[in-house]
Amino acid sequence: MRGATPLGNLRSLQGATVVEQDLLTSPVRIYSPTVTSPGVNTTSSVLLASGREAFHKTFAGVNRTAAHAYGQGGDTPPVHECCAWRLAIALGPPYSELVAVAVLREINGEDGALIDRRYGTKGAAAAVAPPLGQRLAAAFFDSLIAQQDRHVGNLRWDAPAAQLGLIDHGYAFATPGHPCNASLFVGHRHGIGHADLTSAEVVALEQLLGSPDLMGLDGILEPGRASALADRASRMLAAGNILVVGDF
Amino acid sequence: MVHVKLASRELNDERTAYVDVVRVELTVQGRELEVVSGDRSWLDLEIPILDAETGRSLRFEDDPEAWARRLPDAYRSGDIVATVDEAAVPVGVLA
Repeated sequence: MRGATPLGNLRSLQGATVVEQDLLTSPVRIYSPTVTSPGVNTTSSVLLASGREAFHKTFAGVNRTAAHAYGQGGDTPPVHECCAWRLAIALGPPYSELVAVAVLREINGEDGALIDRRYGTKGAAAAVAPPLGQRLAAAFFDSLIAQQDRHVGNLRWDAPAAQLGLIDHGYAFATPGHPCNASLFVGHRHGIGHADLTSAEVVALEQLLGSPDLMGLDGILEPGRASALADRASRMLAAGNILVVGDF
Repeated sequence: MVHVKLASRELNDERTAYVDVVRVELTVQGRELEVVSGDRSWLDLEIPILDAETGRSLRFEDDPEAWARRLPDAYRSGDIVATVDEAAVPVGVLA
């Protein structure tokens, strides 16, 4: 059942997976705000009673100056964290394995995105360690969601599990003209000559465009961002490849 | 001079509290970067950081001090925390 508001629509879709259910319902055992420099988005470390670790990014904690520099609204980063996951779970593997699970949850009176912790290493070496298929999938996903800040700190390489993790989707779902600070997987995919869409990616885009509500995102994303998502998917299909860095 | 600590947030052994484990500590003065302590591999010099004032991506090589000062903007995920000491000055300068 759809809600009456974008956040209501988002909440109505949550809870379909075990991890989402855990993030939504497990009691909070530890809630530890990050002590950092002034003006930066406030993120709290969370330990759930289930033993799961997560991060809570509240609406109140958004650094509006930084958000506006990216063309984001003051309320969009937590929503976009959740929208990235909603799209990933709708598209299924490999995207649902790459993207950190995120739900909207109120904790201690503060509403925000509660994001499952991804473990592993970051950095330049971690960015090239995953199998080619995972790196190509990351590029496809980042191109589709108009990720604005995929640098080597916004990934985790879990070597024992041989799994790349994509984190931090607050600055995504950009629209044309918004800045792109970094998009390492998109640049990498073009750089190694693999920009062409795979048959599975074509199917994924066709399913997204064939969905009456963009797999649930129309009605959650701001209208201009939803139409930009559909436009990117259409242009990727027409061109037969992922978009170039910063083409939102 | 800019003094930066990069820490990872970890549960203590009893899983009763989060603690910040400092991984690398550095200072940047002018174009000189010095790793004061810790593991240099935790430092990602290749990260561009969007400068909210100019709307442009700032790289280390553009302006090392300004880049270091904005490192907290680069790490928003919560498991890695950059803290900046804006008042840091070289030892002895205020003596």
